[in-house]
Amino acid sequence: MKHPFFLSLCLSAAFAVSTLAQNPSAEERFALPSDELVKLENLYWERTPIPIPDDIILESSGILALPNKELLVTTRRGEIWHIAGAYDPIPNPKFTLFASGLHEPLGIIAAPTGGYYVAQRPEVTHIRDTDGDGRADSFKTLARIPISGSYHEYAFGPKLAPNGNLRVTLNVAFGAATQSPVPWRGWMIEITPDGQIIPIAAGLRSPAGFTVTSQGVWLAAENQGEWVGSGRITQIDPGDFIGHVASLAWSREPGSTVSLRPGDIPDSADPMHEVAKRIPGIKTPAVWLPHTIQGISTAGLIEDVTGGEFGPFAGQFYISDQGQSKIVRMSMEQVKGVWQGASYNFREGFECGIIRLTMGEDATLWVGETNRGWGSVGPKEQGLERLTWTGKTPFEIQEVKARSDGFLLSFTQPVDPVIAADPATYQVTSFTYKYHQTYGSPPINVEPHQVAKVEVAADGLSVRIALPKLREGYIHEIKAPGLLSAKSGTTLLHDTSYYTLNQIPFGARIIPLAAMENPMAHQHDAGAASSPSTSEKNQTTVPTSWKGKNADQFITLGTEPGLKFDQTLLTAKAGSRVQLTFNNVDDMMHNFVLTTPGTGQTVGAAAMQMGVSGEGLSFVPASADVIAHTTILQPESSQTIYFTVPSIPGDYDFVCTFPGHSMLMKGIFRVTK
Amino acid sequence: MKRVPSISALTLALSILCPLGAKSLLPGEPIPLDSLSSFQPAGENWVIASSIGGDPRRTNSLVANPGTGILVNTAPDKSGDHLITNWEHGDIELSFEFLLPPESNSGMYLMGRYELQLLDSWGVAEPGVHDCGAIYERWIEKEKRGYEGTAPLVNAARAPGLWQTMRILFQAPRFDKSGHKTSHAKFLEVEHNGFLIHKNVEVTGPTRGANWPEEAASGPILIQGNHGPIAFRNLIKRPFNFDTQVTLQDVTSQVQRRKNVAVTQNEAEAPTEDLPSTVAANIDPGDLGESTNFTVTYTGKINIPNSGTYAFDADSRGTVQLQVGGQPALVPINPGVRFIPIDLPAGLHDFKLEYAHGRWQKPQLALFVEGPRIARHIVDTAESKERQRAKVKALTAAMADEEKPVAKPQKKEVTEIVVSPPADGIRLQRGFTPFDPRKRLYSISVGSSTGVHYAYDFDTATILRTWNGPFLDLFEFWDGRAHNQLTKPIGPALTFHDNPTVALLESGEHDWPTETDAMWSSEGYTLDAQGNPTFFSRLSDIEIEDKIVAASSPRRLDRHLTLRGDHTSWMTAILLAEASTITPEANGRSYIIGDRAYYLDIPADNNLEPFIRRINGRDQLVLFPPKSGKDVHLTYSLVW
Repeated sequence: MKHPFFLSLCLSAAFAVSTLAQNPSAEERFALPSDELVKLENLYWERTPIPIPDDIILESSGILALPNKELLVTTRRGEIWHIAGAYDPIPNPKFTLFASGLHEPLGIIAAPTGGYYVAQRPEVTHIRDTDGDGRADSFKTLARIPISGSYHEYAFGPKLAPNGNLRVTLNVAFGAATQSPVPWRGWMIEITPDGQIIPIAAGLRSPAGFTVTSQGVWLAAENQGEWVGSGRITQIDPGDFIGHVASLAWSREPGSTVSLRPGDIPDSADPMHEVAKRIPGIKTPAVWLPHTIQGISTAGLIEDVTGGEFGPFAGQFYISDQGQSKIVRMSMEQVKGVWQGASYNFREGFECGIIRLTMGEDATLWVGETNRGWGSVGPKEQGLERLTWTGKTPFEIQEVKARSDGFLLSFTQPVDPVIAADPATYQVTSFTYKYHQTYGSPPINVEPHQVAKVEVAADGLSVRIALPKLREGYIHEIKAPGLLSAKSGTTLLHDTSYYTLNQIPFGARIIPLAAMENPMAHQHDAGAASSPSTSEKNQTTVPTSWKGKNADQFITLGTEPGLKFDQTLLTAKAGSRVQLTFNNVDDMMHNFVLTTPGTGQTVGAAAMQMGVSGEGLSFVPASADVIAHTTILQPESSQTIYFTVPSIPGDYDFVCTFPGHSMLMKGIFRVTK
Repeated sequence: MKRVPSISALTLALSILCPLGAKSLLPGEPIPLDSLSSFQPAGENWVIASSIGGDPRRTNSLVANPGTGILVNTAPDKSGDHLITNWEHGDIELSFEFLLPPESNSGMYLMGRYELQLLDSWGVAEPGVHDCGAIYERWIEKEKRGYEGTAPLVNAARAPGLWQTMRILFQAPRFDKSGHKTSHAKFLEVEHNGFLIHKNVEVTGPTRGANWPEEAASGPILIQGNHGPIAFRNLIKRPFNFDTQVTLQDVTSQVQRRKNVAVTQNEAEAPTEDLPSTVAANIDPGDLGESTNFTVTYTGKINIPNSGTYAFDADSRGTVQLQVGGQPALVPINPGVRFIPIDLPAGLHDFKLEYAHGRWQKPQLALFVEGPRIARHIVDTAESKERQRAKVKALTAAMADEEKPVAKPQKKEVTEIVVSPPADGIRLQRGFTPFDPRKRLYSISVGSSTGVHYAYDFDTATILRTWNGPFLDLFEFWDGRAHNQLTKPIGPALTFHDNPTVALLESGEHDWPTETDAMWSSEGYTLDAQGNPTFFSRLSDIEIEDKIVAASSPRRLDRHLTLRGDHTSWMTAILLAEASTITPEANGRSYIIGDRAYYLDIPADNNLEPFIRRINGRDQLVLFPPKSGKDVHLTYSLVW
């Protein structure tokens, strides 16, 4: 199965509830809610696309901020462009070709000895312009990277390590018998100045974004896939195995820092933190980014080191997503020596999938974009944008920290004390993911939590919520949609955060110990992504009412890349019996939903509102507008359903209701007389 | 530089419009060259030889060495006669090899009337209607002017004295019962040195110099003999009648369906369900309306027009097995099929076609056949052709129905991304270079504004291939997800070997290594002011500098190798060329590589002494530089 890191796509924007305080009507909420949110976000962090000349294909794959407000941008087409004037208020920059002919560079940094280090697919190269004519003329191989010829074998980085070496992460190969056919695929490696490769850690899958923090902590992003239930950020130490089994093929290779063997990892589908307790050497993530909510193909990762010039989140992290064309924010803390933290939506509405983030001068965040052949919410296939803080601070959750009996939420503005003090203002749900070989995972073991008590700080800038039950190892979704700012009376710009509670800290409690429940008694869901539903609208066997007769009409429907069905017009006679086979030949999950005329988008929008429970219901809302549907199908699987065509002729809709797909993945089901 | 039209578009057109496409599976009929018995009585200028002697690279004459297998026109001037076969043809595929000395001129007249020009066009930048591979022009004697000639899409000509290949797929003109012509003669495909130079070129009448002014349904081959020497070998003909087709009739289909499995269930254990047989209008498994995981068996009759040997082929996304007349014709290998040639008498025979569809993509099957006088074409029922046309019509109508405003303008279907060097410089592109048996992963293509390009391998410091043309098609490298990451050369190419160029040998008798040495490392490259790369490598203590410069007048690659340092315990060796045979030329510093495939020249001021050694049945041109502690500078040129 081919499942690269640039993968399945979802329009996430609509997850954020509108911040307009009054109750908007259903039409208002479903009519492009993302535009509302994007407009609001733009008041605080302004997004400016950089115009690109027509004859340049700028699929940005790496950005280096040079002095004098200039940029070097590497592209998927192997070029390095020098860009001057991109910082201008109304940018109309000048592009000069610095180098070309590289093989898929995915990052560029300045070399301490002059020139630049670039990670290409086959090697890390030291590139220099030795005669100063503005064109690179020296391409010295620093280290040859083992590859087997799969197009998924990306090399991400490089990053300069504090010890003077370079670090690179290596994507696994897909579509072959093994995903790690040559050494160090799926590893983080270090490269010495004389080109020696030193393995650091294993278990990586598609570590498109990684960084070393100002405190010297190495973090790597991961993309949902086999062994990876959802995107996430993991803190990496030498010798760590962070989850994907293929890389363990090389654990006995000289230089390996990991001793686990592939057979040591069970394919049990138990939560990863439970497996990690049984098997030493497995490092669980610091912060999970729930799939479809906070990204689907995590790609860029940087720390806010602007000291407040980029807004109130200094010291936190920004993470870009390729599929959802957006940036989320992450805060981290160490509890009992373990890194953990929370993620929050930050900025949506970029023009294309974002794979690189680089902070430039004057706290300008450069956003490098390409969709590289996969769909992205942003409609373009290439791009470069910048994001700057307008100086205005929105009403946001500043940070979520863990407490011995709950969480401490801090805010950028004082909260309305009455609403903030009411435990009903906060909705907490915890869940986790399966750790198994199957691609991805639905949220499992989903449970709501009661908020027993709230203490609001005197200055109104933080609240402490206490929960009788905390689940160690679980992701806790904390929503406060009704919370209001005392100053402006508005709701939170982004009202939801996801805290990965790896460790519960010690410390003083605000609710008595006796009130805390044992969090261990949970039940395992059946929740498979293609769980068969027994709904009568999802009829997978010949209906008995057909009395053994064949269908009147057989329809075969497939998919095409880029969120499309392979047909946009299906036709059937009113009242006829249809046997429809839906073949999902894409590498993302899809379904087929037949709806009454004109309701396809409404049903699709309602599916997006189903939240974490949606997956178990195949993202088909309980609506009278739904006539028939398949369950959510894994890539490369199919389902045959049987239904009777409505008796009233007309143009009915069919859509895929996987969150975000329905706007593009749709068609007309024409019922004729 | 002449722009080569979209290669992939041509291939696409080939498969849809013209069912004749891929190369023949069945062997053609070689025209014997042990004597002139296949030809009408010939002038003395035509002789049979075993090989070419003399210096066909530099002198306008061909020396025919005694023996058989090669046909030679020895006449150096206008005194020679033409050569005409004693057999005639209509539709035909004709392939042959030819060799020309400098400035020589000949031509292959299909049906004695339609000439494919053979000329020494080595080095011509923009080939015209008189150049090698052109379909010659027609002639109006009164006005002394020509018209309708078709230049080849690209100049694929090799240097004088080298063997070249030509393959022609030709359709004869058609006439009705009263003798009126209903369609013109057509060159369906012409490939020169393996590269397509013509596609579907009509010729409205005999070309200049044709033996007969009137057209006919058949005619002999005429080879021009009055314009200079030329040699031929491996003439192979496959006569056809394109109108003769194999069809299916009385087809029934029977489906065995594997019941839907839950994600966690083992597919192989899922129960199957046999559906009853039904009449089938065609053998298109996509029409069955079946889900994935099914097998369909088609049975019926196949109409075999001519008695003889048949070869079937299949292009599919499933597993295919075919039996005709009870004999196995196609057996599945993974992936693809293997054909078994079968002999069939003319008439109706039973056939049984099994197609097993797995989980990937839409079911798809195209069945092909070729046979005696039957060119390769798609096999299905006669009605299926009508149905396919109707399907296309309906689809067009459906698209017209949907008059919704389009959110974004529809992208034009892109099937190639052609990149070329700048007008006066060099363009480099790293990527995976196509190569047999396996694409090369650490390699780079270097394109020059001279129009001459090469691909270089970092692991072996080898020139993998050279070609002329626009440079590269990067569609499979930059479009969408680009699974193959291939940097594909556009243009007629000469492919070399991929053995390491520099090696450490224990002794002069040890064979050359085929794998990269463990102590080898590629160190990258620098660019000079024009953009030409110099490649740097290390083999143990030896530093290697490698600069290759393309030139176009005359066409060649000049290579400058410098070795510094020495590995004292073993012998340092350089491999200049490797082939089945290497022949030194009379001047002592040029070599003919292989069976007249290309030349390797060493400049006169060179004081190194490469020599030919024969190991394991092959020749190697090697150099063991003296261990003097001084730098070794080796220069040589490749000419083709």
